[in-house]
Amino acid sequence: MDGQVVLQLLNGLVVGSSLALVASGLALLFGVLHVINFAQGDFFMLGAYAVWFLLRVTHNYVLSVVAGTLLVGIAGGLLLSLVVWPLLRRSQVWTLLATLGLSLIVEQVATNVLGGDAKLVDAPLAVPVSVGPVNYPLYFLVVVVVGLGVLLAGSFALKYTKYGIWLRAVAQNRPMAAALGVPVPRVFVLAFVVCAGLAALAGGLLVPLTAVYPTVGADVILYAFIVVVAGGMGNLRGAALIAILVGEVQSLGSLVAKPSVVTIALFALVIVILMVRARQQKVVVRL
Amino acid sequence: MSVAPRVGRTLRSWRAIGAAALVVGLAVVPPAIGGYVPRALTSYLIFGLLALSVGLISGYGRLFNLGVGANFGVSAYAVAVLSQYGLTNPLLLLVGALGAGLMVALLFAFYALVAGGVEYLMLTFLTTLAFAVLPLALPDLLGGDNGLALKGGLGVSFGLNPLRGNEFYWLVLAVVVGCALLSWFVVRSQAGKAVQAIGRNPVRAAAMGYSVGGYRVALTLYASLIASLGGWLYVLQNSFVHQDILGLGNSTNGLVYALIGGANTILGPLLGAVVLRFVNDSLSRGSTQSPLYLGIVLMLVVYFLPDGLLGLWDRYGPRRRAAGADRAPQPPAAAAAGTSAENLEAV
Repeated sequence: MDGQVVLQLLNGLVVGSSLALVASGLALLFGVLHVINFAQGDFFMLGAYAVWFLLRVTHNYVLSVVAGTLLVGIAGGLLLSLVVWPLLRRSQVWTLLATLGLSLIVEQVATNVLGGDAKLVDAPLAVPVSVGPVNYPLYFLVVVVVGLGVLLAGSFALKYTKYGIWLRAVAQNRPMAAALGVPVPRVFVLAFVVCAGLAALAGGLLVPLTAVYPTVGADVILYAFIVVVAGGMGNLRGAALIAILVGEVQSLGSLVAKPSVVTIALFALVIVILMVRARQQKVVVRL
Repeated sequence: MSVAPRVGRTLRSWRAIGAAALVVGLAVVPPAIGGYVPRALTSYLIFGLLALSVGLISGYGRLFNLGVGANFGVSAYAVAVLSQYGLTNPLLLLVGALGAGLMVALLFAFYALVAGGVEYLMLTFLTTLAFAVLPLALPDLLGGDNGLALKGGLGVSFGLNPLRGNEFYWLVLAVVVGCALLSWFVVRSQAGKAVQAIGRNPVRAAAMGYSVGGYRVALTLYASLIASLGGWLYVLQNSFVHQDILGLGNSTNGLVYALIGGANTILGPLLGAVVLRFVNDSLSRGSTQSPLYLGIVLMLVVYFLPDGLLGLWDRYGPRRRAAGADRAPQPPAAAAAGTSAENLEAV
């Protein structure tokens, strides 16, 4: 196979697996709380900044990623809970607007505090590994494994652990879950923390590739929302699969066309998917 | 006998007199002050059209559209692109702007037919993001990252100079007043009431025999017309377009203006645009903190001002007090009926 194609396939896998993390956080939050979180890109950005900062303090990459993810996940999740909590009884539109406002504020504050310049982080494990005809940096293969591993572990946790079962119960029927003794507020906060943490983890893992600057999340969020909409809002497995697909389309597409053209093509693809789905579901009442 | 109808009628005539006074004041006072004022107000009013479009589609129709900025921007781009090819007839450029806006509107209308609620919202959101990258995909036609300058001199704006004299300001004011009056008649017409009924409860409206899809398409096209006029005036005033006006930022701006003024009114979005752009201009002169202010205003509106500024007027103004004076206190649900907050609640 052509070396370029293999290289882009691997790139697509790296981008796709991180995108899957961001998007599954969004899908989880939508599934459980019906909240659309526009600030997800900012948690990605904060996660990347956390790794950049912690790396200068600790000089240990693994520790930085783990600590950064926990820090941004917990702080971000609590912040998101504070923002969304008073609006839970109101329409989704208001929570969406509130997270949009939060996103604008966080982005501008990050620019004011950290500056608008891109901060570079060197990839650890810069050993090239030969994959077929190309040499690929080991670190990014680790990113793929970690990303997919976390998602897999997450789907097991969702299926078999107590909190996972509670999350699904609340997503399915909130009043019934509450009546059966599920501590709904605790489940909500958990969903927020997991959502923010997944984005922060993706940001921390990808920072050697993308560098970090205040609007780094905006580029990610575009694709993440494409993924969430195309995968079916609130559908975790669909989101993860489509994230990989989007990553591959984006990478392989860059061989034949400009990135902007690929973005628009992806967008057209989402419209087609939605059209097909709308026809299947026969959304007569929703017209 | 209740005195409420008489009070209502008096208030309505007062309101008409107030609106007329406002228009006359706007036509006379800023040019009399001169200097920077008419120029700034021109730009505020142009964004008022964007906000009015958002208010109509999201406030009255409850189709929560995050992509109206794309409509505005595409119309502006159409004028700039046509002027590159030597087309300088102002009327033809206007037709071009409306035609290009119509294309985006048809896309939104299609969304309104196939998707509802959050899915519609996400589709319009993705659309505005996709349009924002379009100039990068077609750099030769749309100028790429550098934006595109309007060509053709003063001929493209009927010979009116947006930088000198007050004629361009009056043109913009006339368009805005025209749009506001037309919208006022539209929302009070039978069709306008049907649109609002569909917004409140599409299933019930469909059961009553209204064509839900048809009215939504019509509303989308009408709101798009107003956004397109805004885009057309925008490029005439600035003689330049950049990909920013296609993107999420512009759409969000329109939404916030509409929300802060009161999305479920005609005057509210215009008022919101003027107030917020003025505040933003005064606060961020020489700095680039406007996203921060926009974010803070958005949060404040969401938590404290869901009906917008005009909602405050409805809640605490003379009409409410007059109505409350001779009637028993209304149940909260009835009192809130028809406010924009309740409107968005149903999305």
